[in-house]
Amino acid sequence: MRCTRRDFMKQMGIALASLAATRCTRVTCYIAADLPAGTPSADQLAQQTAVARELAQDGTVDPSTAQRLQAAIGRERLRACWLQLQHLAAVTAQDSSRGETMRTALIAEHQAALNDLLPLGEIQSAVAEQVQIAFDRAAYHVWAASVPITCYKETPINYRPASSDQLARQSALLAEMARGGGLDRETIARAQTAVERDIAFLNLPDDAVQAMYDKLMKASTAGQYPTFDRVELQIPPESADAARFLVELLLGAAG
Amino acid sequence: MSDRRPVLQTLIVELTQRCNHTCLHCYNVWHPDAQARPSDYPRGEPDTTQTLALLDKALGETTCSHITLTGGEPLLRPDLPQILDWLQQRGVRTTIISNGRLLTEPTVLDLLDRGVAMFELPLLSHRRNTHDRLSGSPGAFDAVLSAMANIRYHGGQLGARGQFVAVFVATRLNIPDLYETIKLAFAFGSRGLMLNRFNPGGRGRAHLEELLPTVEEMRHALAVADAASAEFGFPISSSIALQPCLIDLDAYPHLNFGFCAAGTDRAYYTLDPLGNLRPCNHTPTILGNLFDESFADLVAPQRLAPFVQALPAFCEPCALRDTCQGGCKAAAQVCYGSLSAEDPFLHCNRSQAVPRLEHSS
Repeated sequence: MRCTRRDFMKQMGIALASLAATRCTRVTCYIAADLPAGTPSADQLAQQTAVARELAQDGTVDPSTAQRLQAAIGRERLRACWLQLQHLAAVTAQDSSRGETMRTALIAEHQAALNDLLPLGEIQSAVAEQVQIAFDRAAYHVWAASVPITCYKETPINYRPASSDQLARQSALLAEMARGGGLDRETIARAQTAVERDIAFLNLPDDAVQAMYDKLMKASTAGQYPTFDRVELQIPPESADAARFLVELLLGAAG
Repeated sequence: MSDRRPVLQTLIVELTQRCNHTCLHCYNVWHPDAQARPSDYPRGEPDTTQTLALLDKALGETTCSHITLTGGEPLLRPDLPQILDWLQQRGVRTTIISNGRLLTEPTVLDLLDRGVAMFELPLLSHRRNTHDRLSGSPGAFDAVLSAMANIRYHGGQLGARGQFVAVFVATRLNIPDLYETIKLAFAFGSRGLMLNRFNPGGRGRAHLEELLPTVEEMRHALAVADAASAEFGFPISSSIALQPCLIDLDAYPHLNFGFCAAGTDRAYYTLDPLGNLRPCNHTPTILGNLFDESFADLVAPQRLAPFVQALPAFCEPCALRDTCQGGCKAAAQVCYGSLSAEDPFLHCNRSQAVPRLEHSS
């Protein structure tokens, strides 16, 4: 089963948005990613970005250290955009116009942070493009799902409840592990693979899903269908990289 | 033997007395005194088995669930990974106080994986030369900033893994650099700044005149820190006691101030490598050895009384004496030979002191 990269990243964004925004409780309803105590605010990140740029130019600190600092701040700026989706939902529910303004600003900040990470070698251009698509879609999903009057719905299909339930459990587990510390790298890697697989399924366009069901029904004997775990899925490589980048960014498995 | 387990928020554990820096302000109690006479403080470093036995006893006999590993330089212990694994298995939260010299990227990753939640790292100036001079070690500045950047890069994910807090020891040499240093700590992602005035002890006694700030210099430092804390939304605390008779602490609303916590639930009892327990990490006073006695017995009120109740005669009339306690008794002890002597900061500036005769906030 193939899907377009753009479709994949849109659904990836929606799935991850649901990690960060409690308002999105339908397709993938997991736990909210709480802002940890001491997380820099948007203003503080802007201040830190400015200081880090000065440091990179004035020779106060070793160039490799300045670069590492810029990379760390850039990743935190990206993470902050995702974690503000919850706030976007709240603002939009109160005032859809203000929510629209905030959505636009968040998308711009996300793009700016990606632009800062590109020359540092933190992310490849093709992957960054996918990540931005995901965030764009995530922000739209949160906004559309939070506008007081809306008929916005994601299309549910048969395997999706199982897939989203698994995704919910996996994401909750990852978030729990991230909060509790002591991450086991192998477990994280396995869980990430599973998350990517579930997201890959959730991203499939309806016609692809229907084609898959038709094929399964034709091949089945006496109504015996494979479990969701055994469904064969193919993920475009850049999209898989982007999915990994985002899961690491949000769930704390980088490095 | 007492039957109640002492309530401890944290326990400071000196894993080693060795260090790879020679900080001018170092307060470690085993260093020679100002006249270069050797200290008679017990020296030594047990093996892993003994260290774990000591930790096991300390944790088993108290309510403590947080350990601060220090030294010397704790990263010089080759068995630090085993010790951290053991603490992690016990569910103990761990902080490491380090000079940052050995915190390379692989080491940072390894320590984060072993559950180190917080690092306390010195940042003594935004100037390489000043930081290195105070550290007594060329390259110290670049090493600690690299460590900070690596901790932020690898440890900042959702804030769930390791973080660090920068420590600025305020001396006459670096107070002019304070604002830029706070800015640097903030930019590197420090959770806050510990603004500790130089507290003479250990090797620091030999540098008292060179390093001890005047009251005016400390007021200036606090004003700068207060403004920077507001500017950056950056928590700054001052834990080494500043006597209210010398400095009006209410004038710095963005800063947090602390006083000696010995004998309270917030006390930071210090366990040396050989099992000797002290009321804090600045004092050479040994309450006893944990291998020989229970923790409860070592911190029994009668055992602590000489330390807790000590007060300089000058402070007797002051309404704030119970809070301030005259400042740091340990510094008074190591500099002037008595827990009831005056804290050097008070002693050197007593002419400017205005004791509070009525209780004020």
